[in-house]
Amino acid sequence: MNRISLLAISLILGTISIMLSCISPFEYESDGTEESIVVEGLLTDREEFNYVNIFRTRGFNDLENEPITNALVSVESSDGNIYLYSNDEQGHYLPPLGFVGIPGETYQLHVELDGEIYYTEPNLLIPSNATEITGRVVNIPDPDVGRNVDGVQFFVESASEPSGNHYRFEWEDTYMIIIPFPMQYLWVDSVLVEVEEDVGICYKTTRSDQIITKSIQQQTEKSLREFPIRFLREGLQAFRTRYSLLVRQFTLTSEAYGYFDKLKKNNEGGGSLFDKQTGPLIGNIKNDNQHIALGFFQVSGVTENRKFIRLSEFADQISVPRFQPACPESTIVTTLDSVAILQETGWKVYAIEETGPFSFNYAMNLGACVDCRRLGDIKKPEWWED
Amino acid sequence: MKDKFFAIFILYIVSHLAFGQGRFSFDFDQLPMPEVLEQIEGETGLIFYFNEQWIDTLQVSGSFQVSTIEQLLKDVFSGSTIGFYQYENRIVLTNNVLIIGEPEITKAYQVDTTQVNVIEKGLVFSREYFDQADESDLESTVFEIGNRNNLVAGGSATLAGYVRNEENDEPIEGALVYVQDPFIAASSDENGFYSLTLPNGKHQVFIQYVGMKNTFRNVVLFSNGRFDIDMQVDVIALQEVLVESDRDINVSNVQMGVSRIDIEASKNIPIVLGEKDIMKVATTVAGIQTVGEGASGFNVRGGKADQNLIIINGAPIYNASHFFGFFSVFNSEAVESMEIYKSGIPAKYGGRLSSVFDIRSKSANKEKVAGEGGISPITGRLTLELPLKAGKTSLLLSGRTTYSNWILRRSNNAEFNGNEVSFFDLSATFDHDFDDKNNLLVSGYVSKDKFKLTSDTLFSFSDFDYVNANTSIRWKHQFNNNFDLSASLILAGYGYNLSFDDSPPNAFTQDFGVDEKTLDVELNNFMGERHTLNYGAGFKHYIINPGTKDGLGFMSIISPETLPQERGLESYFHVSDQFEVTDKLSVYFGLRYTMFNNFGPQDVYTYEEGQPKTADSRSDSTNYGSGEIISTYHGPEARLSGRYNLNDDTSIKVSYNRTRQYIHVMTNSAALSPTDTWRLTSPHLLPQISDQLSFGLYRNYFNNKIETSVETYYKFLQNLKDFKIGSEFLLRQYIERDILQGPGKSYGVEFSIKKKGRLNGWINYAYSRTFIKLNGNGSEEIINDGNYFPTSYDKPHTVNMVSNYKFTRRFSMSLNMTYNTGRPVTVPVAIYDLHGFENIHFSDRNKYRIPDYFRIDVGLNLEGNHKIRKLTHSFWSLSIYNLLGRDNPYSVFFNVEDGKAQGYQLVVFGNPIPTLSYNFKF
Repeated sequence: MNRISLLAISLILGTISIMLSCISPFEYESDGTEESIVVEGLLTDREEFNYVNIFRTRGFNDLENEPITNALVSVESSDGNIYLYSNDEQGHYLPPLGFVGIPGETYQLHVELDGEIYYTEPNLLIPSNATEITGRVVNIPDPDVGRNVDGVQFFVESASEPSGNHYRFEWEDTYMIIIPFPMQYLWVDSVLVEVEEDVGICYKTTRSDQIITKSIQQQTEKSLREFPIRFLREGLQAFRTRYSLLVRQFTLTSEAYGYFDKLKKNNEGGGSLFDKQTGPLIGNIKNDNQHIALGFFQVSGVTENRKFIRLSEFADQISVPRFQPACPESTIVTTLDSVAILQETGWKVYAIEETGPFSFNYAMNLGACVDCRRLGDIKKPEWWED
Repeated sequence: MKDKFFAIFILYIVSHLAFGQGRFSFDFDQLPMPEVLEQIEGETGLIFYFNEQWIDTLQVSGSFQVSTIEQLLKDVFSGSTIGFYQYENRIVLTNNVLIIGEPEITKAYQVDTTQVNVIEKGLVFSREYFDQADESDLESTVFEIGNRNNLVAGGSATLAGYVRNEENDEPIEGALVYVQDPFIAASSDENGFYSLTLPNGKHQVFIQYVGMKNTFRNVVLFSNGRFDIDMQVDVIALQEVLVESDRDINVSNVQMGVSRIDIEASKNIPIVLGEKDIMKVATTVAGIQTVGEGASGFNVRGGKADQNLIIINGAPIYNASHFFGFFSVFNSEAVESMEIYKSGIPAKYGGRLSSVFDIRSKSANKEKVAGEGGISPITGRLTLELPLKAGKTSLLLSGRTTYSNWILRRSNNAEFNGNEVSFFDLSATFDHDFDDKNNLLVSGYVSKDKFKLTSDTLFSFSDFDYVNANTSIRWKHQFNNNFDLSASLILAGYGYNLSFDDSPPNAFTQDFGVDEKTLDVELNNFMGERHTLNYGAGFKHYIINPGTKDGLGFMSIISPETLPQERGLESYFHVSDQFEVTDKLSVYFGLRYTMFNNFGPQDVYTYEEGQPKTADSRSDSTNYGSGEIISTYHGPEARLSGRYNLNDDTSIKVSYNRTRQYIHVMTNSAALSPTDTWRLTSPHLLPQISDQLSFGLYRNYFNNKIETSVETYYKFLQNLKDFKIGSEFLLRQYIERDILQGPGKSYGVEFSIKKKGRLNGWINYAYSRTFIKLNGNGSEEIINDGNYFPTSYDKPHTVNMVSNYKFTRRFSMSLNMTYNTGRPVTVPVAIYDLHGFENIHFSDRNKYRIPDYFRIDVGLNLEGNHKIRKLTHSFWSLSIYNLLGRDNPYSVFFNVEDGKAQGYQLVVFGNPIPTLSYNFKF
């Protein structure tokens, strides 16, 4: 099934409903939550992505899933080897060191829990291919702001011939934050002490939190072309500096694609006149005694591609935003007493100017304008290229 | 045909002349009847058989000079209750009993003529009437009848013809046609036919009929001849007199579960967005529920939305909604009537499980141009009635279109700026009378909706349109008053097309279409007073294009995809008899037999026994060649109803119905959506079958001013369709992998009160439940542990009130109220995370319900003055929909936000919506 056509239809229908209708919160009472076991498993051809998590579903007011720590997890490969996973007592189960999936092989998951055996059928590992990230300026409606906006749309394209037809994507983007008045001094024990760390540059990372799937089965050309992956609306801070987008492509079996596709629809509730039927969705985890285990054991080839870009390159089409949050006018004080009073309310000294013998001007500002850590992570990612 | 009829008539006259040679002449003076009969026996050699008690008190006086025995006896017994029956030379007298010597059916060929005494009458040969003053003044014109050369001096001849209404050419039954000297009279029959045998010569023929202007014609009768008379409507300013032929239909009709929607009545019902809409009126009938506000589709007695047969002039409409359901596709002005059958479905209808909505379009006025139209904030519409040939041929043209684009473009909301939404519908009805016995009705209908919408993700800018089109050609032939035939050719189609062109590599176009051709013959035979036979047969041929998809433009990398067409043939015959057993008991026996075949070319998979049907569980595939029969389903459908009158005002009715359905809509949502696909019954997609038993009690009060009824029903359903979670039906060849089939049951009871008069309207309450059981193979195919569970359209309680009060003849107000239980939904019961995204775990299917629905609407209608001579008649209507502004959720849905499941409700019309519309008629 082609995603775009579906998307188009649901959006048309959605828009019609928006035109005449409204959406408001709905309170309902259910009989309480139903607890089920969830198995989240991933086995790829790269070691760092391989894990199995086992936990219980959570209620609406719980933020953490309750881990299940007493399971026995193993994976059996088509060559007959059985790999026993280690248990960290936190619900995380990790494969033995050096175990990675091999394209063309199949893998079966076994979980033994409270005397029940949960298992999957053999899952084929299909290798993933190289991708390319492209971007261009577009004008599209943005539901967050309720109107059409300019922005940069990034696409994934195949850079080499794919061996599979179905994909799941994850993205991760990072931009550099440069603040206008990084503080140089801290008020410690009634004296100004120079800051050891540079708090002028931080990095803000966002990860995809939606299921992104795509099938290229019904295409004349077996490759991914102009698949929209990430949209950045004009005005976002990312446009001020250097930006990096990582796209991770998992090649899925058709069964896995079907599952994630349905899961996505199930989560997308709706809000149109033609909402689809939702219901409990069972993945590939089986049990012969009709015990339900949610989740999926995904076996995939994976590739990653990272692109660095200075979004201000689009400045002829997209205006570069001012720094946000807007900074107050800096305050210049001349005495340490004044500094002491102001620092009580959050002001920080970002510059000291000697105006004469023993007389100084202390330039002060506050909040995120002096400390980038309020906006992002100060630690420069290892992979960051300036 | 008319000529044939006339020939029979002449034959009849001739036969009378032949047998009327012997003249009988009697003179009686206060003679007792037994002696009169003795005299006649002596003269004629006839023998009378009778019961003396019947006639011993009768006396006969007068002089009788007649040509036949029959006439003699008629005259002798006139004024008494005695009848007679002649068998060879024996005459059997009867008291108050009529013996029919020949069946009713052949009698229709005979025309009742009035036998008259023949009196010689001088013939004026002068040509004084040739200098006639005004040719157009029929009363001062002299008409010559017959051939002057055939004139028999002193003889008599027969004048015969038709009496018709000049305005609409309708025959007038019961008009009195007479001459004064000698007084000879006849009255016209159902076809307006009359005949008078008059002395040759000059006569003034008078014609009278209630409601028509009395008139006369000057004729000179030379020999037998035809003379038609047109009468004019007599305009007398009287208070309107309403003659209702079926005012007690609630009690007397043998069928139950039938509702007739009056188009005029729908005028007074307040509606949203200014369109009077018969389908919306239909949903205020007990037992008919809407899927939701502004949604397409109805649920009739717990039936799914695709189980309703909606036909206009016999041609089915696959998508009865514009604008996704906000409007019906029928322009009410072009509609004559709509009948809805919820149970007691006559045998002539078939193909859908739950109900029949039989819509008849108007036939245009055949005498003068007329029109009707209206303007509302969303649509404009116009209907024209055009006589093409006076009294014979007419054409009705009706159109409606929206100008919502105009509104959208002026919207401040930027989101609407790129959007285009439009629709139109057009219908045409051509009606031609070849003669009194042959009528041709050709009607065509087309509706189209078109959307171009921007949306909230890149490249979902898309075009979408859907079209309904159908044509029906019906020839109706009347053999006689009691026997007619209709032969119809019906072509119906529905299709949609969607395209996407904003990203050249991914641009595509995709379509779906269903095409139905029907050949149908139906005969009606009124067998006397007690039996009405209806029988017929036909074929429906279906071709479905389940979907084709193709790249758009040279840059597109979308590969063409074509699902093989589905072909099917539904053959049927039906026969029914409505039998009035006694005055109190009436029964309807109906039988319909249908057979469905689907044909290749097609590949059909078989699946491993006991396994869920998936791509992995297929075990074998069979290739069927073109025209090869893939599967055959057939079976009888019994349609039985009975009515027993407890008294004049009260009756009980019972009915049993079986219906079968061979075409099914694939939908995964509660409402019908325009992108749903229809698929034919196949080896995996089984025919749906419903058995409905219903029982009803009907009582009218106050001279039928108040009608009440209670009906209860129970339905057993087979092979209801439902769907796996997340299933998709677009471009899906092997739908058996997505559908679920199982038995269902529906039951309920409906109370209804209807009142006529100044305060009119109805109130009804329905309790109805509907359940389905899905117990297939594997977790995907077992829903709710394989137990019966409520369908998504199970709404136990529904209350409707429609009321209208006429303050004056020009001003009326209406108030409507609707309440129903919220429909079942599936709600989240837990959350779980996978690979960084949060997922909702849902409850059992349809375990919860959305809040109840409640709405009040008001409407005011103001008509223009009622002067007869006015260019146009107009009326204004103001309506406020959802007066209380209650937020009635259409649906609820859930998103995970900040780790929590948040519920939302979609409210379609959450505010009071006032609409002012202007309507005119000329």
